[in-house]
Amino acid sequence: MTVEFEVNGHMVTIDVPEHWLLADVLRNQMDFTGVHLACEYGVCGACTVLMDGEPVRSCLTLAVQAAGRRITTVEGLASEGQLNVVQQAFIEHHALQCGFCTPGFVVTASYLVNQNREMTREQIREALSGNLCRCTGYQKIVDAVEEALRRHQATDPTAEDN
Amino acid sequence: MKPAPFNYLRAATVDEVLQKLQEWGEEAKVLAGGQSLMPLLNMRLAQPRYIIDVNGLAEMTGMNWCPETQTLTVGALTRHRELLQHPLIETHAPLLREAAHFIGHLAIRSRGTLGGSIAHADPAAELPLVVIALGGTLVIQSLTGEHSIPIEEFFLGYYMTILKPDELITAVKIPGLANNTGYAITEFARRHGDFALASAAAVVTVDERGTIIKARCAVGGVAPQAIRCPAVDVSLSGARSPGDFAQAARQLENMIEPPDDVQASGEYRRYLAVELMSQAIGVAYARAVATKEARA
Repeated sequence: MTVEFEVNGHMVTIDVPEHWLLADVLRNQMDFTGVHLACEYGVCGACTVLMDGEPVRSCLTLAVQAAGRRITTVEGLASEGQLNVVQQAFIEHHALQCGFCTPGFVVTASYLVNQNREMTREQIREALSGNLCRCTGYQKIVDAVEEALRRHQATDPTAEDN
Repeated sequence: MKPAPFNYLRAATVDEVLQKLQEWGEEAKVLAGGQSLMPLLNMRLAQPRYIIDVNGLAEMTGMNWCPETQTLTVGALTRHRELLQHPLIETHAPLLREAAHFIGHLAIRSRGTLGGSIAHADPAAELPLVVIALGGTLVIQSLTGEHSIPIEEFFLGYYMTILKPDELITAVKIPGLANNTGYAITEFARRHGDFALASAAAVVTVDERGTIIKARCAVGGVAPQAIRCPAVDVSLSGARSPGDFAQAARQLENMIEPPDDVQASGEYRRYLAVELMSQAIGVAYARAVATKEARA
């Protein structure tokens, strides 16, 4: 089936077998290898991408279901060589060790930042609970996301000030 | 861990789905949010010949409150995230919001659907449990017409329902909460977001003196399907104290025979179910009394 969709700001048209997963097509056909695949049944969160701005498991999404949608992978978060606020905070807080889970965390956290809401540490932990990390113990990841949310609120004039 | 090949149809209308279900029968599976079906396909536990994608069907989205019948009709394709955020849910069926909070994680709630969760019939799923406690009905369509059935008549056991291969759940109808009524769901899972080892839901109505006059209770995760607990409901008549609630919850002990499995022993699950039921009744009762006092 031929499908057309937007990936990281570019329209793509691709002919894919109907049973192929979005995660595989992003990785193997389009070279967005930042989409990491681990469990392949929706538990680990490493393959999380944004579909029309919302986090979804690309291992639980068929490539043909992306038709007409806007997909953002971790490769699409930086703009003009500038890391986004989450990526920058991950570096500064050493929020990764082996890095395998990192794209999923960064994509999920970027969604949280885009939501423009103030979040408590507990709410952040809950929101990140669908992403598994086996190295860090999570503390530094939560630190980084807290920092990213704070910086985003400080710089974004549309952020709620409650 | 990749799906076996299948033919994919992106359906444009409910009629098209029904026609194809009629034609393809058991060889077809309906794909809604995909948060249960896709793992089954990836693990090749399911290998249907046809996948009918209903995600584009506007007819199955949205919700609407009918003041005459005091009924909230919720499209089967309503995502868990919408259950968490929609003002009509907040006003008329807040128990659905509370239940959705227990389901999986952010990315799961973006996609998972109300109708999908019910059709999948996992005995530990939260949405079937609370729709049972609320006395909801399912709207089921096939080419031969539309009918509604009370949800507690829908489940046959583990992942089995009375839904025929040519039928589709298109909506769920939830009666509005009566005056002086409170609700609650409680559950215990090893980790947040996991399926619960046991769960309980209660909807109770109190009279002007704060005594329970009506109750609808249900338990999940301790039987092949989420089940109503009529013995608990009856026992709650006239109840008003935590001791009464605990005693009513103990009616469950003779009702359920949860099996041992890798996650927990049957005995532990039974203990959890009784305790969770008692807690759910307590919270529902407190809320019922609070709404009564707010109205007074």
